[in-house]
Amino acid sequence: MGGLDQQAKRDASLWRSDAAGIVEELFPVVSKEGWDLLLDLRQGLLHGTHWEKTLSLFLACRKRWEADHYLPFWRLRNLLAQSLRLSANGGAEVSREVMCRLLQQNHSSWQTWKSAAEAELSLILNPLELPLQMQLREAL
Amino acid sequence: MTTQTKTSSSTKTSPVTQALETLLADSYALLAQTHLAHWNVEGPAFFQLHAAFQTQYEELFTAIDDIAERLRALDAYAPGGLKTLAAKSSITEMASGAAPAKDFVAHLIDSQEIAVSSATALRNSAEEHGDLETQDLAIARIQTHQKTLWMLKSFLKNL
Repeated sequence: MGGLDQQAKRDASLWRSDAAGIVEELFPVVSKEGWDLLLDLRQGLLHGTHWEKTLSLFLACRKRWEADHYLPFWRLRNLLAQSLRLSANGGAEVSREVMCRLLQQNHSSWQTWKSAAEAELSLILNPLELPLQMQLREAL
Repeated sequence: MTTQTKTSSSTKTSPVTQALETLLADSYALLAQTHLAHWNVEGPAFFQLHAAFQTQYEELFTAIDDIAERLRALDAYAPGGLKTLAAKSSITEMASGAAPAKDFVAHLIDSQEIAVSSATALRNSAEEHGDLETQDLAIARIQTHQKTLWMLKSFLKNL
């Protein structure tokens, strides 16, 4: 059982290396001034546990380079939507469809992204549960 | 002397026919995704993309027939039915709803790349088994998918 759990965790974490690989493809096509930001995003995707920070890095990179490099950001966005779970107050999770929609919207910071997520969640949650404590975690 | 009737168990399955089945399934899934994009794409590039997607799914329809008939020529039966083909394909489905035109193009790029991988696996398997006719079919499919990829990727540039 422990072995199976380990295997499941290994399989689930494959998305991290896929995502890091997409970021690596960006290095040769963006200016060197942006490499530090890309390195931080790559590090967050590969080893991070603070997903709000990693999402902020993703949004910052997207704002800077998506217009010229749409495909890698589309791929990253899909991987994040599949692999992260957004919950409120430690309970209700948004569906994958909502997660895709939220990531599709062109927010440039974690704060505006979070506000949009709160607006989505407030529609499906009991008003007594507001205000919301938003949490991003990896789906394992 | 016993009489033999031809059943599915008497057909020949081989690495080449298995690779043909995978390419058939991926091509069918790609056709369905391209058709979905043709229907649902919106925005300033509508007329351009709507027409381009139609050209692509019509080409795929003909190709699928050729792939299935190659299976029959190798004495294997062609798999069919949406569920069966979907289970054999690794192409993902795009949600049927509003999406930016660029997302339809990006999704089709991903799907075309999977079709290139399947056609490449078929080409290699056919080469290994000395089946030049299947290899020729696979090479033609790779060329078509690569050309479509060039067009789709060009569309996404600096949009």
